[in-house]
Amino acid sequence: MTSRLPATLVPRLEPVRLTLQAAADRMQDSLIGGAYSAIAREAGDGAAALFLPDGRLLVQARSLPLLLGSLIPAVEAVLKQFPADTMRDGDGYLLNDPFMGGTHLPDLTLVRPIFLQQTLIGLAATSLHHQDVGGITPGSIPPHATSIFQEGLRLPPVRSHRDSQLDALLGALLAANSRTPDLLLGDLSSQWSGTSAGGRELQQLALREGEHFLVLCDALIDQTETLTRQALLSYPDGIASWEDALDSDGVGDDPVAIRVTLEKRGDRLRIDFTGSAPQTRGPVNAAPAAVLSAALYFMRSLAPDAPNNAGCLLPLDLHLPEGSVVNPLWPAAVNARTGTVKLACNAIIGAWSGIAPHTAAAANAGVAAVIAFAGKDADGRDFTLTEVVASGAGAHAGGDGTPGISTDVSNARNTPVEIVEARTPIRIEQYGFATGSGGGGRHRGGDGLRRVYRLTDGKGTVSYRGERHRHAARGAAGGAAGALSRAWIERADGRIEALGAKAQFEWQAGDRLHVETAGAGGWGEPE
Amino acid sequence: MSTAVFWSIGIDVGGTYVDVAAVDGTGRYQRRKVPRIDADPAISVLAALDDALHAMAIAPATVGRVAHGSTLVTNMLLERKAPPVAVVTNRGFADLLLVGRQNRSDLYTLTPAPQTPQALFPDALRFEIAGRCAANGAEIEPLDPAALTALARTIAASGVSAVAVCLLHAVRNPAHEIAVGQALLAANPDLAVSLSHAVDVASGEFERFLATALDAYVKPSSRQYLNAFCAGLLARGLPQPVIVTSDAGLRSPAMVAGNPLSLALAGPAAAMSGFHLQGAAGGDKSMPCISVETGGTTTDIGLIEHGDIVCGRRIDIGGLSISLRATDILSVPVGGGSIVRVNQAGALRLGPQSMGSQPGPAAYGRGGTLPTLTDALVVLNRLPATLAGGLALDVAAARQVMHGIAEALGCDIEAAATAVVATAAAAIAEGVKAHAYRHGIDPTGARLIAGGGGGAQHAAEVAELLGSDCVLIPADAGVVSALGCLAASETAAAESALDLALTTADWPALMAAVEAIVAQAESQARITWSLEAVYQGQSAALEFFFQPDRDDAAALAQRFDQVHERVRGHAFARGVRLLRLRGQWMTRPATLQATVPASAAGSEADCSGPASIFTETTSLWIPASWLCCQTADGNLQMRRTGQAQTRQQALKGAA
Repeated sequence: MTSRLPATLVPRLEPVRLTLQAAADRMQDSLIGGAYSAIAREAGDGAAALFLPDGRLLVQARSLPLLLGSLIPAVEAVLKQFPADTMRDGDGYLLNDPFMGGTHLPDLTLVRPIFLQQTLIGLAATSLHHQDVGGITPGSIPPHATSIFQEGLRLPPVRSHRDSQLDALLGALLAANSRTPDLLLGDLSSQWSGTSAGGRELQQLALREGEHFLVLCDALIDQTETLTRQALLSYPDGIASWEDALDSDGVGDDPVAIRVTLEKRGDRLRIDFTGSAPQTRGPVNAAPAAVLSAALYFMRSLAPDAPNNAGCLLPLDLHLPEGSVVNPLWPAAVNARTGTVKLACNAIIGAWSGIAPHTAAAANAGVAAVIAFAGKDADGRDFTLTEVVASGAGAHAGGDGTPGISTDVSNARNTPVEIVEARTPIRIEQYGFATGSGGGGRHRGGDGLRRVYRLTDGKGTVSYRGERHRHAARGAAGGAAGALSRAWIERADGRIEALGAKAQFEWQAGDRLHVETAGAGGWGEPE
Repeated sequence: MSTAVFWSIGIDVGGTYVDVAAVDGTGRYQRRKVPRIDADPAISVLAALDDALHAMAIAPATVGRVAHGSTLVTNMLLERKAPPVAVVTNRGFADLLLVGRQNRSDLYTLTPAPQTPQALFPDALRFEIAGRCAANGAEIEPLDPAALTALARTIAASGVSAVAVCLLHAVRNPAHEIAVGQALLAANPDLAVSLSHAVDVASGEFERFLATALDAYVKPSSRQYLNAFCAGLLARGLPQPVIVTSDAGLRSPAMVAGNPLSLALAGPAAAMSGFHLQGAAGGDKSMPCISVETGGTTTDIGLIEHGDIVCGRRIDIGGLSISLRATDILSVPVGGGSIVRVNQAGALRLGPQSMGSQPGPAAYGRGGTLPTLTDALVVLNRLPATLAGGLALDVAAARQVMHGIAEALGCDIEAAATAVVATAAAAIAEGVKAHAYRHGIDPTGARLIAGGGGGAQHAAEVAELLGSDCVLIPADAGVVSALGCLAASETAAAESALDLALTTADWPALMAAVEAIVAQAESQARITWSLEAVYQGQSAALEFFFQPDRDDAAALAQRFDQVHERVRGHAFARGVRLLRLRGQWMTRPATLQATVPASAAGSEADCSGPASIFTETTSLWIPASWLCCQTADGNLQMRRTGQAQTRQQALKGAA
């Protein structure tokens, strides 16, 4: 598509691509490096991007796939509410409403118009998972929420900044609705710093390239579109479906179906979630901005050489049925969307293995079990700890899946054993692979992880949010499914109590919690 | 005999050459580049040293000091051809090294690779042992002597030559690691043993265990090399050497042999030390210096701030991310051999794949058929007909491979070559910005120091992109690492892991840690102190200076707020937690300090761009609106003229 670019501009295109990507990455660096919020820092749960004035994504930072493209609907919503010609230099716009472009309430998205000599040249946007935005539980991700009103403060697009200052009344309102107001305002200022960094770079680039700036930006979006279409063309046409299910919605006990159909025709791909469960009572519903990330992650994997911009959306036709778990209607609870997005993403990967069996990967186990501990030690001091246990990566045509690794849209690190034991009266007695849990086949699926915790003194509560206790990760191209996740309590007196995928329980000194996450699917018939 | 007649020798080993620099007490200076012979590493270095000393007419008896920089450990970590090592860890944790932090480095791949290569630590060589300490160091379960003896025998019989002992909470209580180490050596005194508490003082087991396992991995070969090198020096009547470590300090061979992982980044550290020497010659310490060293495959970017080389805690080498205090170098995959290609959308890409120097660029005429950055420079007539070292460049071959690129891009050959060179400058400039801003350094207005074969070729264009007006090209760029060996000081350091609040209540505990380090240092030593800290609940620490005799808790808290604000944009109203104390002291000053030896290399002065200058060791590109002149100490300096600065000022005005 660069044929559209005048020959004199050819030498400029690649430097511009590199500078844009680096500018976005520096926004991300500044955002995450400066963040206080634990989940932003440890799991990289924040995103930064630059947009063109018409709302097209110009470049997104290398950020967690869970947030890939998630700023696109937010910027659209802001532009709808506040048309570009009404924006002023120094303005900022804030939102978190999942029904108006947001993901879930803790993710505040900040959008800032960037001007050069009174001309709007783009928008800088950052989002960050904040520590607390209110709602019925500390941390604002209540596992038993059944309505958005229990999840925290909801912000439709509002103008938050004027002349580069946070609106005092809005600041007071935000602070009053958070359990950790200083952290919220500190992290919000980190978001603003991120947009400043990105904005400055965009101005310099626009000044350097002068009148050709927009032409070069368009050429980069064309470049991504071309590379994505070329990649799609290299695969056979076909239709394939994949079905999977969440063990429950966290409130009831029924499985929640995720169904996707991929239709690849020429240089286009339709991803259709028709057949997925209706929206649930519990909080596993995923807003469209959240599901878009799963689709974009897959699209990016097709053309890894492509710039990270709006071009990869153009060959994609994403259908999310209204009122379903992947496009819930107000006032659904949506805070626990990660598991749903992970399964949706792996369903796309699984379905793709029906279209391109020889190159595709088997589905990942796709489990990131979240375990939250709280209690008092023997001296009566409070302790809390939240950690994530990953599972296995899917096997693929080129080899075995990697065991014990964060896959697909998430990338949470573990908490070091030495840190757990220094901060809590919990001792980790075992940490390693759940050997043999990966599905068999010509190439084995990655094993899950096994982690054994013992409370050494005091007492406490544990909230366990696992997945795949009932629905295994399927194999591809004839490979076998991985083993299920398991979790159980071993009481000090030897009694065993099995846990479901979502559980909350009390434990006392001497009790053990055993967690084994699922293995991933195998690839190919065993030889 | 007066010390004035004694020579100090800096000897740095690279891939192709051994570089030797020598100065005596009167300021006499000599240098030599000697091709490295293909032999055992110690033999090839000693042979080069013999050659150089002979050519420089320096008698061994007049040599007072040998400072050595080696890439042996770097290459071992890159090539990973050494035999696997055994790992001993607590019961229940044999997989820990392989699980790592359970995250992946490539976010967007569908098929993530393991973060720790299993081949280095195979299942059969990862051993568990009963016995456990708690987080406060208390022993929960004792070691079982019988089981330990049996394990030591098993490992002795397994044929490994090195073992890593990686036990939980060993930094709080090293007794179990020490006992395991003793048992292993009792069963086989020739084993190389690395104990995790001795490799790193920090909690957070995986990073410490990996560093320990890699320390063990490189230990047998490092020892062998250092022993042979020291014996060779002794046999020649030369003094025992000091060795450049990754933090650009010098240590004794015994210290380095005990912790050879400290050499992992010795090569870049020696180069940084040389750049530091040359950059410092310009004077103004308040202006940060940024070194840009472009070789065949990568460009290494280093930082000098307040007159000090900027160090970090983590290095990336051969796909491994290792916890190690080292000069903080960012490697950008842009070098003379970087391959140019045009993708399916007709878009240009440069690297990361490289032709290196063998077969190298098409212009080298050694069989390289893919276009590279060097070929683009040849097309633009920015390289001499014959490179330093005598290689004649094949212009026709370069034009031929670049012709294919031009056709794919739909432009002429010169435009295609211009695109490639502009891309290289953009990639390097973006690397510089990312690296500098991460350390809270504004690269606008920084001075660039260009090194490597290609640094001076791109530096001015990189400087323009950064908004910087000054580039220094050291006259002795060709032996900068050997000079760096002479410019480094012999240092010692001690660290203490802390878990203290920055409060008056915890202050006595901090002072106790200070006293413990003072006791380790020689009494008269002047110790430079630093602390690493986070806000309560954060994990990525920031380092800042500390003056135990002047500071109090309030002053330190304020300093941390300032550092946090500078590096991360804002401060929090939160308690501060101290994680690590470091004391470093000099045991012997550097041979060379801040005056660069005058060089024989001469060249025309006051040349205005656009123009090329070809010196003995490198080739410069002076863009339009830049001037190049030779400074009094023999270096070359490029400066942007007023006319070109206008645009930069317009830019600042707009932003």
